Amino acid sequence: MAAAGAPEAAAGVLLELRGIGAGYGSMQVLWDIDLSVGEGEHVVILGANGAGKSTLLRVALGLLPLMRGTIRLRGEDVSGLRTDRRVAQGIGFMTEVGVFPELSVRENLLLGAYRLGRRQAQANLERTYEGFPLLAKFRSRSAGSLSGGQRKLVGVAKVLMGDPSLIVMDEPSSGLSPVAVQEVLDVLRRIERSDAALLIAEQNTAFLDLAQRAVVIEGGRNRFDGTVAQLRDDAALTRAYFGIE
Amino acid sequence: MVLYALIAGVLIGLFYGFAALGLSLAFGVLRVVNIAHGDVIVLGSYLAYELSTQAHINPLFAIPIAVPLAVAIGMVFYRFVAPSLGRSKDPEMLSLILFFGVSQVIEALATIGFSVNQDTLLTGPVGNASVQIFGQSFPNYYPVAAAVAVPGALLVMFYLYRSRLGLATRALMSSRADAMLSGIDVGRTSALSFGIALALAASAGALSIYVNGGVSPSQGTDLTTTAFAVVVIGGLGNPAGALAGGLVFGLAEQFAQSYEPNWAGMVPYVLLLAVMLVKPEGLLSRRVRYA
Repeated sequence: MAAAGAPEAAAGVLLELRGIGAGYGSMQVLWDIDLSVGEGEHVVILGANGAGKSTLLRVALGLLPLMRGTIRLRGEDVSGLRTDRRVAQGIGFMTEVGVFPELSVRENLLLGAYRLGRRQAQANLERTYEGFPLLAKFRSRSAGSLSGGQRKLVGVAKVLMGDPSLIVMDEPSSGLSPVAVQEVLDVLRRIERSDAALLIAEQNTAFLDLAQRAVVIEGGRNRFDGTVAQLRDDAALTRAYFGIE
Repeated sequence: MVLYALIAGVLIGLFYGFAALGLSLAFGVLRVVNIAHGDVIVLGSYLAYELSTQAHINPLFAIPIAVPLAVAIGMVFYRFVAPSLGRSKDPEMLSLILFFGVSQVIEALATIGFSVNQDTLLTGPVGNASVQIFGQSFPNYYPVAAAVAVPGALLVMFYLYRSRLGLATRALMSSRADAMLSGIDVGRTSALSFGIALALAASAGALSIYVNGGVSPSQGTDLTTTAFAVVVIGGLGNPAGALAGGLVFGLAEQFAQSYEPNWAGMVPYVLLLAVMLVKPEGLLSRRVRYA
């Protein structure tokens, strides 16, 4: 098995979480978690329901306060920084819902580029319509009226609208049919070819195909941190997550 | 009689919608019912009353005075209370208690300043002549109230649906966390929205003194109740719904007033119950697909 603790942060580290302890009220959910994402690196956080994946992402973005530990973005301590200020530093976050259901597709996309200002947002909108013709067709429809797969597509495009250097996704396959999951994977493969780093929390091991590195969380603690190939070589984890002997 | 009730219902309904717009906006952004909303309308009415009786200025001039004042007070108030609400384990309950306290303080201060008696303006906003619409005679404050309410509501709609800050406000109404994740400064946006909500209430006060036949310190509770019914009929937290709710409320009240005056106070609330049973999310709320 690869090292249970994360490797030492190297040069080119974009996001670095060290010794993270966090939870809800007095209930601690995360215990001494380490995680790092390098510039342009693709990392998948794997874990069962309730392992603490979403909580870790919420902490990284400042939606939940830290109990202990530090969060650095490009080496700068952002542990006390407000969520919108972290986003302004180039993090794009797609939640499980992914969209504002009451707003139109166009409005959702514009909100993805809110931090960039009106002119840049308009330019990115045209680029998005070219890249995702379906969204151009649905531009005036409310995001809440779309199917689950279409909504995820809007969610991904919304995040890309902000030209982020780090894209964070919480369970992009959640609530989707196998066909829709495949569509989301196809869209994410486009991101794979961009310069942006990718951090995805998932239960679905199909998302490992997008990653260079995997982090496994179990019971709110680091269980594994290494390459995807190392994870596939780990017999115990293979049994637990891939369901094969 | 039908034509009179129809026209009066639309004119007064537009006023009701405008008067409730701020309550809907505040609920949409803060997720709390500002039960001091009616008391802010009362303050607007007293400003109009003082301008008219002391300075001999048309009471409608209370609107341009009240708007910047209310926006500033609302923003400061929000900044003052938001940290406490954020730390609370039950922010909804704390907010209700807080706004209840604010309501009582405003009522007490108004009683000290103006006595418990009702104050009325003897002259309408444009003199005392009545106005003929499709052969029906109305007091001139009916069309004036609608003439102020419509552009006021359009301005709010323009802000919400055509401006960048309005888009941020609607994102905030949809999901506070997702708004933050879009890079929106939710503190500043919420403070501004609350300020606008108070400005709308205070502006409605300049009309309410006519529509409600005067102003008294204890009027706030009734005004909050009416505004609450209007926004619930239209869809809580949906500003466009407030206007639709206002029209429904106004028409119900005016038809009841025309045909069965004793029931006029009750009919709009029976309608509220009916809407709640048939479409609990309100008339203009959007459906969200879950598959």
